Amino acid sequence: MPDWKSYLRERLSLPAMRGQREERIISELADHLEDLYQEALARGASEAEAEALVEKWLGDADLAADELIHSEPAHVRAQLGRWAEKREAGLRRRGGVWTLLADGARDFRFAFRSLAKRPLFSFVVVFVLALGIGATTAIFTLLDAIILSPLPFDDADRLVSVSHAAPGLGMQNAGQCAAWHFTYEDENRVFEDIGMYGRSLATITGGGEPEAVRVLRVTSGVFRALRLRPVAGRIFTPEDDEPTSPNVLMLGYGYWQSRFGADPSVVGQTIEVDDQSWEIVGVTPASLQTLGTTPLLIFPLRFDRSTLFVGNVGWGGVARLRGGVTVEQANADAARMLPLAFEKFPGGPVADFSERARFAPNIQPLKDSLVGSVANLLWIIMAGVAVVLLIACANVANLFLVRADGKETEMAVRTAMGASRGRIGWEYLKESLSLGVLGGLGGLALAYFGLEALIAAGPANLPRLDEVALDGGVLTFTLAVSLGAGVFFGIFPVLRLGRATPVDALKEGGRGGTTGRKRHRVQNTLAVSQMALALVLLVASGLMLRSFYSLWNVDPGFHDPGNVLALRLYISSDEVEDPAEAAATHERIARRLAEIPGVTSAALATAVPMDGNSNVNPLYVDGFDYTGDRTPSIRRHKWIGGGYLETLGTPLRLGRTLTWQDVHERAPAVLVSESLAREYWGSAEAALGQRVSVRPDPPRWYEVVGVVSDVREDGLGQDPPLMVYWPQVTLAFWEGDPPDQVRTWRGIGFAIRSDRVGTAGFLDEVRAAIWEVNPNLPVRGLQSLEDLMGQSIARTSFTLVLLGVAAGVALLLGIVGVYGVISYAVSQRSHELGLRMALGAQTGQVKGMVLRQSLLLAGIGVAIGLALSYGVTRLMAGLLFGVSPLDPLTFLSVAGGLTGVALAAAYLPARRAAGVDPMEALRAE
Amino acid sequence: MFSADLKRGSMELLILSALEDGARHGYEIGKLLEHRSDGRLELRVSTLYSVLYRMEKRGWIKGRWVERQGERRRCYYTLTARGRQVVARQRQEWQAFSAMVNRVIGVSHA
Repeated sequence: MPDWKSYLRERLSLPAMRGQREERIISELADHLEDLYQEALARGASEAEAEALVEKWLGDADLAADELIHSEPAHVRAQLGRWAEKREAGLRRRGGVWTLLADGARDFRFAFRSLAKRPLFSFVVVFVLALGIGATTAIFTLLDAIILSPLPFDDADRLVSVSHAAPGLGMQNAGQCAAWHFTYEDENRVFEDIGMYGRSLATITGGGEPEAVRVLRVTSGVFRALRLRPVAGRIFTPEDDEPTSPNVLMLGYGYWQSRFGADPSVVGQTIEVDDQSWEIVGVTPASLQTLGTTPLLIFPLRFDRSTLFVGNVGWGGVARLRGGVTVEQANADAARMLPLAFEKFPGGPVADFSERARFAPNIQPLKDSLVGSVANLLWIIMAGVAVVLLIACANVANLFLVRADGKETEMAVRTAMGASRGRIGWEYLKESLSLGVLGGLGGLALAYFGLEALIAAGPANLPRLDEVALDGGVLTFTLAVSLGAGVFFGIFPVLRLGRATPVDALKEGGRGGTTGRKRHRVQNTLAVSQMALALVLLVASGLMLRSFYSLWNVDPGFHDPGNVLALRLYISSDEVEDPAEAAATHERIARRLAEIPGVTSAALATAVPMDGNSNVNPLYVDGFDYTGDRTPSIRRHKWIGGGYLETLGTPLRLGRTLTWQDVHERAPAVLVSESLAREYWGSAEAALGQRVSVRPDPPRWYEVVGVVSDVREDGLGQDPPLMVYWPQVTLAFWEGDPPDQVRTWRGIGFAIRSDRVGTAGFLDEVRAAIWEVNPNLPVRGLQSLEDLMGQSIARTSFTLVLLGVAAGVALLLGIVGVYGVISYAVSQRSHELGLRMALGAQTGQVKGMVLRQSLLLAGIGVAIGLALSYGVTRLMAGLLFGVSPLDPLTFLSVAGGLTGVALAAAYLPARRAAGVDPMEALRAE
Repeated sequence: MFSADLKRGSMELLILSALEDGARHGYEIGKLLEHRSDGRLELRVSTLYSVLYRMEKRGWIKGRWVERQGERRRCYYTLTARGRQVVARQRQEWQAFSAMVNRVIGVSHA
C-alpha cells in the first residue's frame, strides 16, 4: 500500500502554510486517497490500476495546490501574493523590457497554465503563428534595413546621387563625368559638398601571387559629402585630389581587419599596388560600403583639369544638399550648369557625341538610387508573407471559434449571472494574446535562422545586406505583430459574445445538433478568406514559376554553358607597353589554354556574355545619311579573337566567322548580329558585303563578312542587344587615330570550353597555363557561363523561392483550414446526419452533401481569390518574363488545383459523415 | 459531466445538503454526491476539500477528528446553526433561479 502522505507531499507544494495546517490537509487527503484506493481494489482493480485511478482523482497537482491555497485564510494568500510580487519586483529592478514582463507575468501566468493543459492545441497554434510571424519578421528585417531605415550617414536625407540621363543614347542613368563634376563643384548654388567615385580593380604586387582586389577611387569630396570620419589616420584632403600629389591610399574597413588585424599602426606604412608604392594614410569606416561596393583599397581619384572634356561618363556622383534645398532645385541648378561645362572644358574627340546624347541632370535622393530597384521586389515579398500571416491568423481564429463553441453555454450562464462581457472577453483575449506572444517568440527564432539562410542565398546584388540585423525596431515590430495577431484571432469569439444573448446560447446549447448554423457563418467566412488569400499567393508564385521557366528556356545564343569557363585578365601598360604585344600575349594565353587536356577550345573577347562588361558607341553605316540632325544610333560592340563563336557555340547564320588571321592582318572584316542586320538592311542576306565604321570623318570602313545569332549579353531576362563583332586588333579605329595606330583592349575575357569545367584541379591547371605565359597577371572572374546565367536571373529566382515558400505554407494552412471547418461541421451535424440516414439517406448522398458544402466554400474562395489576383498581379509585372500578369493558364490551373485540393481535404470528413451510425448519433443526444 | 464553472457556483449548496442528515467525512460526502447524481457529479479531491475548508472558515460547517472503533481516525464535518440557515437560503435561491432560467429559455417542466 502506498504511503499516501509522502505521495501527496511529493506532489502538492503548499508553501506558506503553517505546519499544523498543512499536516491536517495532508492527512485528510491521504485518508481520502486511501479510501479511493481500497475501493478500487475491492472492485477488482490491480494495484497499478488502483494507483492510476487515484492519480486521476487527484488531477493536476499544481491546480489542486492552487485550489487548496485559495481556500486558506486571507493572510496566507497575502503571503503568497507578496512572494509573487517580490519576484516581479526583482524583474522590475532590472528595468526596461523586464518591467513590461513583470506586469504581464501576473495576468498571463494563469493563461499560460491553462494553455499547458491543452498541449496539442497550444502547440499547433503556436507553430502556425510562428511560421507566419517568423516569415513576416524576416522579410520586415530586410525591408527595414534596406528600404526603410536611413542610410548610415549624418543627415542622410540631404544626400543625393548625381547622375545624368542620356535620352539620345536611350540611357536613364549614364552617370557622372569629371568635366561636369568640376563644373558643379565650381559653379553650384545648391551643394554643400560634392564628390565623384568609381569602382575598379587593382593588383597588389610585391611578394607572392599577384592579388586582384576591388578598389574604389574617390575625390576627397566624397568623404566630406558623406561626413565620413576615418577609423584610423586621416581621410583624403583636397590636396590629395591633385595629380602631382604623392601616392596615398586608404584601407577598406574589412581589409584592414582581415589583412592587418585592425592594427592602427598600419597608418604610415607603404604597400605595393600595380608596381608602385603607396602610403597608407588612413582607414575608411565600414559605412563606405553602402555605396554598393566593398572596396579593399581606396585611392584618390585625380584629374588633370587642363586635359578634361565632356565625356567619359559612367562615374558615380554623390553630393550633400545645402540646408533647405530640394532635389528639384538641385536638378534645376545642374541643368543651368550643364552648358557651362562645354565652355569650361571644350573639345575632346567625341564632343558632338556628347551633344547628341542630349544629357540632362538626374539628381535623386541617394537612398532611392541605391535601393530603388529592389524596393518593389521586397514590398511584393512582404505582401506575400503578410498574406501568409493573415491566413495563419484566420486558421487560429477558427480553432478558437470551435473551442468557444464548447464553452458557449457556460459563458452564457455566467453572463446571465451577472459577469460582465468585458470580463469574459478579456479571458479569451488573455489566452489568445499569450499564444500570440509565444508564436512571436517562435517566429523570432525562425526569423533569425531564416535570415541567415536568406542572406547566404540572397542575390549578391541586394544592397545594404551588411546592415541587416534583428534590432530593437524589428523586435518592436514582431511584438506588435504578435499582439495584433493575438487580438485578431481572439476577437471573433468575443464579438460573438457581444452579439448573442444568453437566452439564444442556452437554447442552442440545450438542444444542440441541427441548429447553430448561424455560428458557422464566421467560420465559413474565415475558411473562404483563407482559400482566397492562398489563391492570390499561388497565382503570384505560379507567375514567377512561369517566368523562371520561360527564362531558362529562352535561347541565350550559346550552347552548353555549364561546359564553358569564363575568366578575365588585364594586362596593364606597366606590364606590357606595346598594344600589339599586349594583344599577342592575350592570344598566346588563349592558345595555351586550348592545350590543357580536356579543353575543346578557348577564345577571347572584350566581354563574355553576362559578365557585366559592355561597350556602347555610335555606329556609322555606309549608305546612311548622317548630315544635319540625323545622328548614328548607339550600338553594342565587342572585339573578338579567333574561334570565339565556336567556343561559345553561338551559331553563325551566314557568311564566315573571324579568325586569328583576320586579327593578325588587321583585316577590315566585321560580324554583325542577326537583329542588327535586319534593323539596317532588312535581312541577314542583305547584310553581307555592307560596310560599317565607328568614326565618321574620314570613316574607316569594315566589311560585314558574317551574320551571327543574337546573344542575350545582358542576362536571360534582357533582350539581345544589336551587336557588332570587330577583330581583337584594329588599325586607326577611333576618330583622330593616325593611319598606323594599332588599337586593342587590355582587359579581356576568356572562354574555355571543356567537359572538365567544375571538376577538381581544372582551375589550377587554368591558372598555371596563364602564368606560364605571364606570371604577373592576376586571374579573376573565374566562373562558368552557367553561373553567370544564374546570376543574371538571381532576383527572379530569389523572388520565386520566397513567394514559392510563402505560397506553399499558405496552401498548407488553407487546406488545414478547409479540413478543419468541414470536419467540425460534420461533427456538429452528426445528429442530423444520423437522422437522415435513419430516414433512408444513402451513404453516397451524405458524402455528396458534405462535399457539396466544401465545394461551395472552395468555389466562393477561389472566385474572390481570382478577383483579388486580377488586381494584384499587375503590380508585379516588372518581375515577370515571358508571361502576362493575367496569364489565363496560371489563373485557371491554380484555381482548378486549389478547388481539387480543397475537395480532397473535405473527403476525410465526408467519409466520416457517411460512416455515422444512425443509432449512435441519435443516442448521443 | 458539467462544466467546471457551473459546478463551482453550486458546489457549496451540494455539499451543505450532503451534511443535512448527519456528520460525514470527506470521502463519504464525495460518494454521496456521486450516488445522488447517478455518477454524473465527480469531484476532484482538491475541489471537494477546498470548498470544505472555505465553508469551515466561514463557520458554516465544523470539522472534528473522531476515532471510531475499527476505523482510522477521521475528520467528520457537521453543519453549524449558521450552516443550516445558509443551506435553507441557498436552496430557496437556487429553486427561484432555475425556475426563472427555465421560464426564460422556454423549457417546460417535465
